Formats: sequence, C-alpha cells, structure tokens
Amino acid sequence: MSEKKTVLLVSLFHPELVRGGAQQICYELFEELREDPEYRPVLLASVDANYPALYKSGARITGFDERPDEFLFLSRDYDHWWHRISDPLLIETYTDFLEQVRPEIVHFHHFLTYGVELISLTRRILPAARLVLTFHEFLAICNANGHMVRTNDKSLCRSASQVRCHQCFPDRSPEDFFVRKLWLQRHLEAIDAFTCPSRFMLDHYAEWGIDRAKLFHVTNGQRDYAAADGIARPLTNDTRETYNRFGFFGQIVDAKGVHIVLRAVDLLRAEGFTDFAIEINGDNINYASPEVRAEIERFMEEEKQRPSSERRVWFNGSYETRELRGRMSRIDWCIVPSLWWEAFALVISEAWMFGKPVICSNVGAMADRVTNEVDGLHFEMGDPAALARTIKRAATEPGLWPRLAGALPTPPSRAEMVDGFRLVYQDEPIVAAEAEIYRRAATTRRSDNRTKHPASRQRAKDRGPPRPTAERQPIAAPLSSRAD
Amino acid sequence: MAEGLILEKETVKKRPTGRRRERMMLPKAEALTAPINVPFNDEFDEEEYLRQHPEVAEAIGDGHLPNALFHFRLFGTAPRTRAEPSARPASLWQGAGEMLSDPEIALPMEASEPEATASRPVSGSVISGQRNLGPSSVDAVITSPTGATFITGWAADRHAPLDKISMHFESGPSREWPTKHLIRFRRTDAETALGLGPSRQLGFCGLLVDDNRMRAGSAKPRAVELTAADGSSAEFPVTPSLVSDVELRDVMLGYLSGIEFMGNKHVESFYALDDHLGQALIRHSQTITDTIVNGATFERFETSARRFKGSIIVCLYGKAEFQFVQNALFSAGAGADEYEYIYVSNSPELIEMLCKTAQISQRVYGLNVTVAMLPGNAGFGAANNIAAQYARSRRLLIVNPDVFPMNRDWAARHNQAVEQLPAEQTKLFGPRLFYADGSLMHAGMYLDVDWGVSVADMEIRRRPMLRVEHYGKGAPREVDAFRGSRPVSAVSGAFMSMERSWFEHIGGFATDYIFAYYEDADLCLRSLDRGAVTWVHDLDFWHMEGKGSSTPLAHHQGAALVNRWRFTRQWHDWAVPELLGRVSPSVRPQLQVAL
Repeated sequence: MSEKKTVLLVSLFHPELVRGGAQQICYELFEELREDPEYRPVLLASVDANYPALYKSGARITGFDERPDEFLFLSRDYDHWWHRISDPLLIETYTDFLEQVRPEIVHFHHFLTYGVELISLTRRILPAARLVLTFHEFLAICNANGHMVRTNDKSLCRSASQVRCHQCFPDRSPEDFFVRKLWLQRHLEAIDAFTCPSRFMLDHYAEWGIDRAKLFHVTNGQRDYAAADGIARPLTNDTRETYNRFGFFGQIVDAKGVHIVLRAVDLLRAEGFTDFAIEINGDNINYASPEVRAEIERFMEEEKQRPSSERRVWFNGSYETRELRGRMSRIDWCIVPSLWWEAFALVISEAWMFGKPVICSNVGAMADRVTNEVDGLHFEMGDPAALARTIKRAATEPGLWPRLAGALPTPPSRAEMVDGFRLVYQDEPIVAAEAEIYRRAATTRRSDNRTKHPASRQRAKDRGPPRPTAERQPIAAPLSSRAD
Repeated sequence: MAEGLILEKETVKKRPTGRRRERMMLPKAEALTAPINVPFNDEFDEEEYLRQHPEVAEAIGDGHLPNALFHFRLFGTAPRTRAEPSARPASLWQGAGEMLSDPEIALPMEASEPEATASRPVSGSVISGQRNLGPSSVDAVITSPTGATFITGWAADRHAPLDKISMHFESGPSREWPTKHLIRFRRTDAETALGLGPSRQLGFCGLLVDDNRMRAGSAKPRAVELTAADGSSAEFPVTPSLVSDVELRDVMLGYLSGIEFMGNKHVESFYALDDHLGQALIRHSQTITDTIVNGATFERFETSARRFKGSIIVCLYGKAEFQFVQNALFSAGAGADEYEYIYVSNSPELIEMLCKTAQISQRVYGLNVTVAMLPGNAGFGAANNIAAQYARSRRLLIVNPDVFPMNRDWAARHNQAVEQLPAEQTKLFGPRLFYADGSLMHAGMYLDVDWGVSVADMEIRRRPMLRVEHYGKGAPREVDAFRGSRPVSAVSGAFMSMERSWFEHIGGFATDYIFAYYEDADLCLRSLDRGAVTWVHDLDFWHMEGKGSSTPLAHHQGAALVNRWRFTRQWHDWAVPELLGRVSPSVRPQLQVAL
C-alpha cells in the first residue's frame, strides 16, 4: 500500500479556542481526512493573544492539548494592513516545521494571523508541494474585514479599486491600496489552486485578478448535526396550522444583521401583528459597533421589561453545535439577515439539517443556496419592512411552510466537501482528465439534485452517497461557459 | 527621491504626556565641547502649546512662524501650569506701545526669556555711554557645540543701517561679523508695533560661525551687540539655547522656509542666500553629513556571498514599510536573484526593523540584503554613496523605496538593456515611471528656468531659477513620444541604473545638497559634463511618488529652497541655453564648474 500523502491544513484559529466558520470547516476536513486511506492530515491552527496561557517562552509552534497531528502557531506582532508578521523567529520556526512535516500538500484556510509571506516561504521550502488556498471571505480584496460592504453607506461592494477603497478608508491613499494589492497578489501567485465555498465568490476573485484556471468551487460540508449515532434521524411529520416560530443563529455583530430582525419586530408590533416568536441564539455582541450594540441592548432591555405575554423576542445566548438540536426544535424558520455577501452561511446548512426553511437576505451565498419560493424565502437585504412582511407571511400563509420544508436540499456533507478537495489536491493532468465529468455535473439542474424532505430524503439515502459537489472549470473553457 | 530628517524624531501629539527625559544632544567624539544635557519633551504637545500661547497661533496663522514646535525650539517656552502667569514669547516685540512716542530710544530687549512679560522695564539694560541704536531686538540666539550660532531679531535701521554684529562671550572674548552675514526680511510684527509700513525689511537672521570657538571650548554668548554704520549700537543680554548641530540646522531651515520678503519670495530668497547664508548653511550641513558618514556601518543578510549582476540601493527615510513590499515584488521574476539589495537608512530609529525585515526577506525570498546603518540623516546623496561602497557588483541601481516593477521579468529586461544596448547608452540611464493610476509619471527629465521678478525698494530685480521637470508627467501610457530609448538631460533618482565605475569616476552624488532634491539632476549633468549622456530606456516601473518617505516638514522646505539655489548657481550658466527645455543633449566640452 502506497504511503499516505501528508496534507498540512493551515487554519485560522482552532474551533475549540475561537469559534468561526473558517476554522470549523477546516477542522471538519481534518477529521474526515483522518479516516482517508490516501491522506494523512496535520493541522496547524493559529492562536493569538486571546489565549496567553498557550504561549510558551521561546516557542513559536507547539502541540495542542495532547492531540496527535494538531499544532498551534503562536502568532504575534501581526500587521493587519499588510497581513504579515515581523518576527524572524516565527518565520524560522515555520520553516523548521515544514521541513519536519514535509507535506505533499499544504492547504491554507487563511493567511490571517500567519501573513501572506508564509505562502511564498512554503513554496520556497517545498517547491514540489501542491499549495491550495480556500477563501472564506474577501479579505484579500477588501480591507473592510473582507466583507465587501462599503463603509460609507453600507452598500454591497461589487468591485474593488484603489479609488473606491480609498473612499471607504479616507486615511489610506489610493496608492496604499494599489501597493497592497500588488503585495497580496505577489504571494498568492504561489498558490496552485484556490477554492471558494460559493460560486459567486469565484467571479469576485477572478475580477480581482486571480487566474480563472486556478479557481474552483468546493462547497463547505459538515457532519449532520441532526443525526444520532451517525444515522440520519427521520423527522416526524409536522402538521400544524401555523408555523410562526423564528430563530437566528450566529454572532451578534453588525454584519449578521440581528438589528434588522429587531427593527422588523418593532414594525410588526406597530401594525398590531404579534402572533410570532423569535429566538436569538449567539453572542459576541462586544464585537458589534457601538451604535448597533446600543440598539440591540436597548431592545433587549425593553423586551425584558414587557410582561411575558407581550414578549416576542428571546435572547438565548451562545451555543455549541451539540445544542443545535434543542434550539432548532423550538423554531420553524431560520432567519439569516446578513448584511454582507456571506461566503457560504453554514447556518443555512444547519437549518436544513433540522428541516427548517430559511428566510434570508437576497444576496451572495444566501441567494445562491436558498431558492426563493422553492425551498425558502428571500427579503431585500437590510430592509426591516421587507423582513417584517416576510415574517408575517411565513407565520400566516397556509401551506407555505410544508411546501418549502418539503423541498429542502440535503446540505452538503463533510464527505462531499472532502471529495471536492481531493480533486483539487490532485495534480493538474489528472484533474484535467476528469474535467468533462464535472462540467456535465455543473449543468445538472439544482432541482434534480434536491432531495425532498422527509421521505424523499430517505429515498436519496437509498440511492447511495451524493455526487461530489466540487465543480471544476474545464481547462479549456472559460468560467462563463458554465451552464448555470 | 528620499529625503532626510533630523536625528531626533519629531513627534507632534495631540494629547499631553507630562513625561520628560533628558537626552544627549551632541554629535559624537569629534565634538570639542562637553556634552550638555538639555531637557526636552519626548513628545511635543502642539495643541497645548498653542492653547497657552495664542499669540504664537496667531503668528503661525499670519505666516510668521512655520509651526509651534519651531517656536518652542527657538524660545524654549515649556507649557506652563495654570498657576503660572501668562508669558509672551520673545519673538513678538514687547512694549511696542510704550515706545511709539519715541522711536529713537533703543530697546535692548532680553531675548529668550520664557517668563518675560510686557511690562518689563526696558531702560535698565542700555549700556551707558554709547550712542543708542534705533528700535531693535535680538529675539533668539541658538548655538551648537561646534561653534555655529543662529541669531534672529529685527532692527529699524533705515536711517543708520546695521554694519556689524558682535557676540560677547561669558569667558571674555568677543567676535564680530559684518552684516552681510545676515539676511534681511520682513517682520510684520515689528512693522505693526512701530507703526511702519513695509518700507524696509526690519528682520534679520544669520548663521554665524566662529571657528575659534571650536578650539576654545564651550564658550557661551552672554550678549549680542548690533552696531550701525554711524557708530550707534545696542547691546542685548542673551540667554542662548544650546542645541545639537542637527537641530540648529533644522531650526534655521525651518525659519528660512517661513520668512517673508519684500518682493518675490523666491527671488529674494536667492539673493539672500548669495552673500553668506547659503554657503554657511551648506557648510554646516556638510559638517553634519561628514560626522554621520563617519559613523556608518552595515550588516549583511545573505544566502551566499558572491558577486552580483547589480546592486539595488534604496535610501530610506522615515518609513520602512515598503522595504518588504519591494523585496517581494523585485524578487518575483527570473534573474532577480542575480541582484543584491542594499538598504541604507537615514532614520536610525528604523534600523532594527530594517534588519528584521532583511532577515525575513532573506529567508522567504532567498534575497541577499545588506542594511547600511547611519547614526543620523546624512541626506540622499551621502547615504547612497555610502551604500555604493558596500556594493558587490559593477552596476548600481539607485531605487526609491516607493518604486516597484511593472513587469515580473524586470531583471531580464534590465540585463538585456545593459548587455545589448550600446555602451554609451547604459553608463547612466533611467526607466519610465508610472503612477498607480496607470499614467506616466516620468520619462526622463529636462531643465527649465523660472525668471522670478521682484520689485522692492523702487528696484526691479530678475533672477533665473533652474527647475527640473519630468517628460510626460500625467500622460497616457501609450504615447509614442515617450517610448523607446531617448537621450535626456537627466533622470529621476527614483530609479537610476549606472556603471559603478562611472559613478565613482564622476564622484558619486554630491553630498552638499541638504537632505534631498536636485542630487539626481546634478549627477546627470556632471555625467554629461564628463562625457556621458543620460538615457531613458523602455523599462517600466511603478512609482508611488511621495509615498515612500515621511511628509515634508518646514525644514525640508527650507532645504529645498537652498538646494534649488545651489543647483542654479552651479548649472545655470553651463546649461543655458543649450540644455534648456525638451532637448536631446549631446556631450559637450568639459567645463570647470564651481559654485
């Protein structure tokens, strides 16, 4: 049996230390690859000053919690403008680490906290290795936390330029952004393949300057949180007259749009409609802007003062993934009111796992994944009135919920995601031979792939594992030739 | 091109610190005077200073002073506590109202007294037995341990012009200088106080150098005496501020940048520099440069010691962040490893960061980087000359920190130009430089002249002032006129490629330009004078003009003025008329050019 190839997974934080989508996906990949016959994963996760106890004198890379093949990169002195570290010893230690692990594949899930120079360094130390980078947001393109939301008017940004970026950050000249782009692109040139969890992101990065031939769509996948003992649990038939329980799951920060939900509640109250309940699950309000935080806290306080019979919104605080079952069971709809594109919106997958249709902003990954009036509902991003109307409709329209819930897609599994990455890990000649297969896969209508809920889901299970969701652009065909 | 800054970093903060520490303010071993500790705030709180001295704010607003820090250095008025009485800085004439009735009475004002008030008696300090000079004042005396003294004041000497200025030292001796060592300019505050119109330039300042002081030790001036041609005089007790040579230079240059003349400022500035001050400033600055250069050292971060195809020399000042960007972008293409990188810093506070970055660049890109360290700001010319000494190749590329290659294969293109073009076209050449917006920034430089006209004292004076312009500045990239190889009068120091032997043959960069500006054109004209025309070739680079160094301050503006004066004095007669305008220069008979 041939020796396994070592895959070094470079993760922004460890999900057990700092929760977040990028690190969660990376860890899902890590766990899945541990069972893989072809690959042996090694995880390098960064940590920063939030965990000073994990820093050891003189050490730059250490083990993590006695876990085999899991290591911590003790980041320091990180420059968030240039995305680089300035500690030569960190560079030296990383070099030693690479030379000791000697991975055939290095899969970066971020450059934040590591610095982009580590990409070029990796190429130099391992000239034959295949370097892969997964974009979890638009940080290379956008200095505004990678959200591509304009700081001046909060509108979505569709195209970066040195002058437009200067408008968002007036204290930085257009030349600053020009040089920043040169700097980042210089290092990203060392990457052999880029992946994005959503298709629309590919266009953004291609327009920014990434070689289209290097861009791949590989969906994010997770283990099924609704399953017990690894077996999908069929949901009971749910037949009620009204489905008026709504839930939000995520960080209580500006970009996630919780305050839009609260404004919608105010509007519904004002028009006299109160036959609904909303549960807010999540935390990190301390990362919200002062204005949004004040608005949310004011609402929370006022809500607490109401008599129980008049309360419509409950704040449940943070949660672990093992708590999802309980929290999802208390709602009918999952609201995703994000005010930015969202790279994938893992919460949508989680909602589908538990059979909950999604009401979401009509942009980005949300609009990509949720089909309006088919398996969920869209509303105009950032518009509380539009959300209020949608909530009211969802809570009152007969047959709406069963129709939408019955058409929910099966969220991509972890195995599907890993299958996609496996393709990307392979050398180009092999992948090119399979390009035609995936071009055909890309032309299949989404409805053909969709498994209906709940019975159809069982039938799909009987058919065998779903096909890989990685879609590769044919070497010879440009991005625009995709069927969808 | 890179600019220089003073040794001590100026930090102007908006919030008070309340923290002080003493600092040695003296150049190194060559100084003949004992070190003097002068307390100085780590961070000057401009806002607080102006709040406590609204008259200073007013003077800045009127253009009499460049900034608050400059005034503080001159007059040393520390921000006081609330309990202290209001103090009027000595830069503004005091007691003007009392003297309006008798303008012939001398007003020997005590200069540099931080707590002087408007009501101070003015007659007690007049030396009896002397015929009194007209209304006058010595506002500030700033001296350095090497014997240079900057003095400023004013005198209403229309009827009896000043003839000499004397300095009396505590140790007994005196020294005098003719007033041609002073420049005259407007002092609108004195004009207003005396009720005079702008009929005569009342202000004076000068850099007085007493070589004897260097041998005598730390002689401290106790009084300054102004003497008119008719024998009248006034002696002013003074309390000089002792500063480093660097600070003295910067104070003077900053002062120079802000003074106002009767007539055209540029023309009158040139005339003012002609007699003595221009040379004095340059000599003083050269002294500083020589001291700094003597303290140069270097450290190499290299993959392997060897010879290279070229040495990229980058002079840094105030900002170091483009170093790693340059390393990344220049190292990207094939052939880039055949070049070494020499970073020379005119800002000592950056040295540690430069070394760290060099270490990282060596590891990440495999670059060979040398960091040349200077203990102060030696200026663009001297710094590059020092770096050239550390080069290990036959070709020098002088590159600004804000210049980046447009093409990945810049090294191959450069090698091709050097190896395939005629030798006379590659002795000294430059590339095309582009702004970040894609338009042309530089396709060579040419000379032009401004004829300034000044009208003052019923006299019209015209003065040529050389100017250096860029070909094609702002033009679209595709303009044919700026493509291909072309001979030009000069190229920008933002990127110059030259044979090292030729660079050494013509003496390298001139080191007597202060900080920066004009050294590049000067080098190119010297090259032409010695028989080699400068060329521009089809190599393209980005230039983020002005982004590679700190924002110019008042003393930089003063230095730019002096440099332009120096450049014009040296080259005008030689260059005019054949080299004026957009001409294709050819080799000319060698001329002896001297300042």
